[in-house]
Amino acid sequence: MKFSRRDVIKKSLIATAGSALISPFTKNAKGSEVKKSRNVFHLQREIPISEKYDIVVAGGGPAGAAAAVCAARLGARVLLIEATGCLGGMGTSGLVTAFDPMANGKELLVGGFMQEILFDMYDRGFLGPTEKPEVFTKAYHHWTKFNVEGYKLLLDEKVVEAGVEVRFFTKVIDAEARKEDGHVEGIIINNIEGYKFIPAKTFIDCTGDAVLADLCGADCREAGRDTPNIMPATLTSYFANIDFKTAVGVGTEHPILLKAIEDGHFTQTDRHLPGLSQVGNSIGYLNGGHVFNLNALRCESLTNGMMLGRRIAKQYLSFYKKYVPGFENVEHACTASVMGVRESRRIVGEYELNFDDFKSKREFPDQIGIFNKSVDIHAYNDSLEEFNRFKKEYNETARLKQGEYFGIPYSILVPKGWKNLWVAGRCNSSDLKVHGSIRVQPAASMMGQAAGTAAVQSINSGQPACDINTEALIITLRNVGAILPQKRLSKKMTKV
Amino acid sequence: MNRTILHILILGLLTTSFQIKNEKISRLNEPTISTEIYEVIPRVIDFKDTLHCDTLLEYLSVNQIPVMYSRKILTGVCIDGKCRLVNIELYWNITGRYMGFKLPEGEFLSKTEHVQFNSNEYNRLHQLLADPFSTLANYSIKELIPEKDSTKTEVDAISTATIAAVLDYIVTGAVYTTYTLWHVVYGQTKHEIEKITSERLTSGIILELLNSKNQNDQIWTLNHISEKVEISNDLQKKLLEFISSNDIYLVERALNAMKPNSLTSEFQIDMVNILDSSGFLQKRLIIQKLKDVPELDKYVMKKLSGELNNLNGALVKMTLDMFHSHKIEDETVAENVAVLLSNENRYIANQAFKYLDSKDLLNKKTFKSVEKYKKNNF
Repeated sequence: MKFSRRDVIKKSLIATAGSALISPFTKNAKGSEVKKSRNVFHLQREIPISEKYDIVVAGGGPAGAAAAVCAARLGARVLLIEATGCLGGMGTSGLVTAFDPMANGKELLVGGFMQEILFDMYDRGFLGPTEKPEVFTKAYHHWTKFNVEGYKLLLDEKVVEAGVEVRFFTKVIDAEARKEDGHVEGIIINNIEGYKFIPAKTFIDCTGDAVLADLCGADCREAGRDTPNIMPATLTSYFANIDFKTAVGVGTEHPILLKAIEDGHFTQTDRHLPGLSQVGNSIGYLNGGHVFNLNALRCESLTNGMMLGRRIAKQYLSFYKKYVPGFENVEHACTASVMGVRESRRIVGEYELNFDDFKSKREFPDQIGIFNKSVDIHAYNDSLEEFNRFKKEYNETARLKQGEYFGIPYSILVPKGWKNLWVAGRCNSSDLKVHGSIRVQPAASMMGQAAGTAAVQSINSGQPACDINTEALIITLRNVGAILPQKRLSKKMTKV
Repeated sequence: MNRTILHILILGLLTTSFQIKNEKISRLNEPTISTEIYEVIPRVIDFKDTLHCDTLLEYLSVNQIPVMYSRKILTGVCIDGKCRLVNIELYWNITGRYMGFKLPEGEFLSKTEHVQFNSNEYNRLHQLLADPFSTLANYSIKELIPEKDSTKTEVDAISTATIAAVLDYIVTGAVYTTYTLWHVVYGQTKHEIEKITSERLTSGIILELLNSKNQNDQIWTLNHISEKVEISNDLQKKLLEFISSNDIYLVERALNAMKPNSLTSEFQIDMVNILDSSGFLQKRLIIQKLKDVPELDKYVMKKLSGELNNLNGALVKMTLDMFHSHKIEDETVAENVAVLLSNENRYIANQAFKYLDSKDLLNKKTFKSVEKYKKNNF
């Protein structure tokens, strides 16, 4: 492929090169000058420039898919890049095939694109065989199980239908941004075709790890670096050949688990088993087996975690087979291809949603979603004290009652001071506790829809992300079915 | 059972059912179909539980319409190693919804240390049993009852922690009783009742249930309207009322209950007229439903095509898909679609182009608009 000079950007990529002593200058295979020093490797490359997009969305999980589709439906030209080979993120590649609670015991709280997905999946037979609308649209703390392949297909259809340009197996590896102006010029992506520079008017980071925001230089907090602990991850599994007619329900296997722990069946005394949920007639997904202290922002830790996760999954397989009725003939279908990370990096946003907001069920004029799920910070280690801390918090001290909800404001999606960059999904700006509630798929989808809609508004009106007219945004979101019951709207976003 | 004896039983029931008498403890809501009970029929069901009584009593109106059901429950409840029998009659609506309970004369429910329930605790139990989404569904009794363990091992600690999770769902001090009764209420008996009723649903019963104020009964009924049921005019009116309601789930279920063949022109027109006052999701569901009708009414087609310019991207796409599936070949529709080619939303413009590009015949004006779009965009 040939590129004119105008289509090519010169970009220095700097990478740490370990401690190997290497000569200061050399040339790479393409003839580019490469400067090497003891610890830093300077690489100069001419990178092809793609055509300019209105919006680039990095990450195709629930937030990214919602952002891309909703923005495209509003007329934007959208590029969605995704590191794996499917959309859905944790819900597909992560095999976390259950949507966290979307209702509060009284009413469905999740509208807009997420509700569209929910009803489409129900209509298409993609929800778990035991799912009923009267339950998933009303029940308090009910997880809605779904079929992973159905979800993948539906999201494929949604992006194609909306005209989103999707690139699978593509990662954002760098960004051209000016922190002082809060402006992103473009990003560098890498895939089988090599590097490419993608200019765009706006950018939405839905990577879950705030990869793009971090590359741009936006302020971020890292779990383990800026917090005392890292919430454990889980490598989810699919089990097959389960007799659900005789199998015990999710949660009810807990006493059996304790017996197995007492018997020394497991290598760690992890008392928290979120459970095995029915996603097909004889297929269940296991959200079980914590990988403690895994740092998702360190590749070695992530790699070791995947390997450990696979070993832990085998222990759960034999546990179910040996101890739990209905699982006598269970087979291990697979583990997820990506780690089920619960916490990694969070942006420092225009506002940080905090636990007081949660407890007081705060209503924000700029709220882009409402939610009810308990603070769900899994035990940081396998001690009894930590497990009891988790249980008490999840069930008592950090749980809203039936019929209640709290608001998720727009301003947690904007890295502080940035004009054309949004962040949606797990890496939103919230404190540790509230993050433990809204880090999940339905909330991520609502954030994604809001970010995509805001980006289009920004393009059309010239309003920067950090000073957008939130009254207009909320009206647009309501017009496409978002459930936003706040009585008062405001042109300015929440900052205090 | 002899019918005369049964009528005597009914007489007794009618005088005691819907009031709380001093000597008998009961909490009983009105049945959805509020009519005089004429007859009680015992039905012997092979229940696969251990509740000692396999007889389900069916309460019928004079027109032989089922009004409610009850079952006598006799089960042991053990607390602190001491056991006593719980003797209670549970009542269900014909949709399987919990209605209430009644204790035989002299019977009472008790808590730990065998302290009798007070009036407020009976009220609370009644309220808890009426919650189909209770978290009690998610726990085994082993998790809720702390095992006797003098060494205070982890099991005790965990059970205590778990109980904290269900505090809002139990009568304090009566975990086992609440748990057991809740699981009976939502167990096999409920499913048997639902089965019996769904086999007997007529247009009349359906209408009565839909006219009730209870949304659970309404939803249950909408979920059980079979293809065999004839949709009367009154039933159709009722369904339209639901379709125009603010509750999106009720809207979805009502539309789902309408079989495509019953979507007459008149009904389609009524549905499309609802669009003017409905929100996005409602519009989406109605347009989706119109895709399934055997033949799209002409007025509906014209009205929708005239509205295209006021719809958002997702709804434009759905409407055009719906037109496409009905193979609409109409000049006015095509002209209305062509207006969208110059929409500032490129998604909408593109949808319009795709629709028009799939048509073999277009009038001169529309053809020119398509060509202009092509020139500007390709």
